[in-house]
Amino acid sequence: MGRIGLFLLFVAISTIAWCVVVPVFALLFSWTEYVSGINWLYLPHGLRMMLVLLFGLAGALGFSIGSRVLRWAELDGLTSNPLIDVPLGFVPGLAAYFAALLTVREWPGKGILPRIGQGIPAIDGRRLILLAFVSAILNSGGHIAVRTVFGREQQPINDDFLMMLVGDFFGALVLLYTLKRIIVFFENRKSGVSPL
Amino acid sequence: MPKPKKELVELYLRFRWLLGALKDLPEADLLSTPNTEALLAEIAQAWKRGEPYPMYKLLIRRDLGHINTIRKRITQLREAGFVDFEGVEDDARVKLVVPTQKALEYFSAYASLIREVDK
Repeated sequence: MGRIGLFLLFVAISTIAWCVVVPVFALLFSWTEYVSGINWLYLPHGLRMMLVLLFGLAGALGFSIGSRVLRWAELDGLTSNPLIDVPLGFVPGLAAYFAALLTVREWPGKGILPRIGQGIPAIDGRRLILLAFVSAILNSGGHIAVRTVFGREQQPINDDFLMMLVGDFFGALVLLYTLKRIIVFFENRKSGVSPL
Repeated sequence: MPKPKKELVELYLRFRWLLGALKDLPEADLLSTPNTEALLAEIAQAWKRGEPYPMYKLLIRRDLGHINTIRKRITQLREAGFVDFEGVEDDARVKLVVPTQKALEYFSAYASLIREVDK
């Protein structure tokens, strides 16, 4: 498999991950919905971050395609409107990608495929939280900007921006800390330390 | 055996790197919660004297907090790996609360910090 084949594989993995996780989220967390499509707690934002950190540009493209697929199938709780949905679909991908560029020093995901032999950049938990925050700002700002440009803004801009920012940021935190607990639990179990 | 693709190796390393970052997510510092460090010091001192505290005796130490608060803090200290329970040979009902190696290392690091400041 060549580099292009790998890139397409990473895009496909990200698309599938998005298409599997988001309908489950929409089903379980419909009670966190503020208005249609905006949640107080949006866990998939954490998934976006992880896909971008793992697969770089391919991850961003993958979940953007995934969100289009779900919107087309109306499985994410929203009705399809191609005029605004297509440009909106690329906002989260671009937001997560540029947030990673801005926050992770020497990020190896800049290129189309992972850079080889460049070493692993220094990232710690605090930087992961910073990434969640920056990508939440870029994502909510980008959504408002696109909707304003395309003249489809129906809600008060300030409210939507704030709700999306809060939902993305806290959703990512909830997902990241849940994953941390799961990793620590399994590591403790493996090493024989009681997780309780 | 075919050589693994360099990109996949890089992806695996990136996956490990992401797991490391997730494990490193900041937590509220347990020992900075009121009285928790004092409770741990009390447990360690009693153990050092050769008279480790049974659980029930720690729970009635009103100067360390309410019984439920002390129970919760002991559980948190145990989850964080600072204390452990030891059984008593002649009475299966008694649980002794003892410091772990991690707690001793914590006190040791604390002592060297104080010595450094004192220089």
